[in-house]
Amino acid sequence: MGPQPYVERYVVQGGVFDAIGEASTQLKSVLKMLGIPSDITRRATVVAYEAEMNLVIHAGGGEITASVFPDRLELFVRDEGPGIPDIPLAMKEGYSTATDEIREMGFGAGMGLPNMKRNSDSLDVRSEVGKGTSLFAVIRFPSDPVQQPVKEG
Amino acid sequence: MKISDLSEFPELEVIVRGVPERDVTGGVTGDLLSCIMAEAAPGMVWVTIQVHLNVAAVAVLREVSGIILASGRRPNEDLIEKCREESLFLGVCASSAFDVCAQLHARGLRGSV
Repeated sequence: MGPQPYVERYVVQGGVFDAIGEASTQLKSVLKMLGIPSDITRRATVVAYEAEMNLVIHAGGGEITASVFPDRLELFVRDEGPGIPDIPLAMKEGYSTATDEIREMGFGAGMGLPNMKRNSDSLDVRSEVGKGTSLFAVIRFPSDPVQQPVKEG
Repeated sequence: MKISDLSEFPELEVIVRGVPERDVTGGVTGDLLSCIMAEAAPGMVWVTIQVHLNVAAVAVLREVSGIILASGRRPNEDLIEKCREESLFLGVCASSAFDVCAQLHARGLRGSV
């Protein structure tokens, strides 16, 4: 519907812990540049960061596509990792399959999917064991027009 | 409270000065990055014992005003570098996270903005 979205795509490498946050940080800059309200940007950043963490820790990498429409932001995250056998379980706060080593770094708190859900207006997770996972999150903008003056930075 | 006020804390060693005139709006503590992603509000100071690079990524994404490493934990070089790059206050305190938070609280900071 409507005009073509503004699309950004980020490739996330698996296992590169130091790079976690790079894609989310880039997305945040883009959303700021587009003049998206800061609370929307913050929510989108949480969703993107958690997705990025999952791609790096669990999925062996993947990609995040952000599409900015006049009334919403869509985040599509796709990987070809091991998949999630039990999605309702993975949605529970505190459930994590991360190793102790990863947890000691502060990752793998079992809050990834719950955080994503809390910060999206809708979240759809589909997964097939051995094939991968795809995640589709929508964050709607407030009803007032999104075209606002570009903020500094 | 301003970032510059943090350097007056006893036992606090300033590693990266950040932006001294920046307002500190409150405080948050924790070592699970997802918890901080969920709880931190812009301008808060973050007290943690995590010392690796990803601390800076979360701090930047949540727009916290500074990071205090508790229990005397020393930051990794790449964390220092990133904080410099992002003009993010980074300090080390010998006190435990509990005591650092108590001091911050006594000076008026709260966990909600």
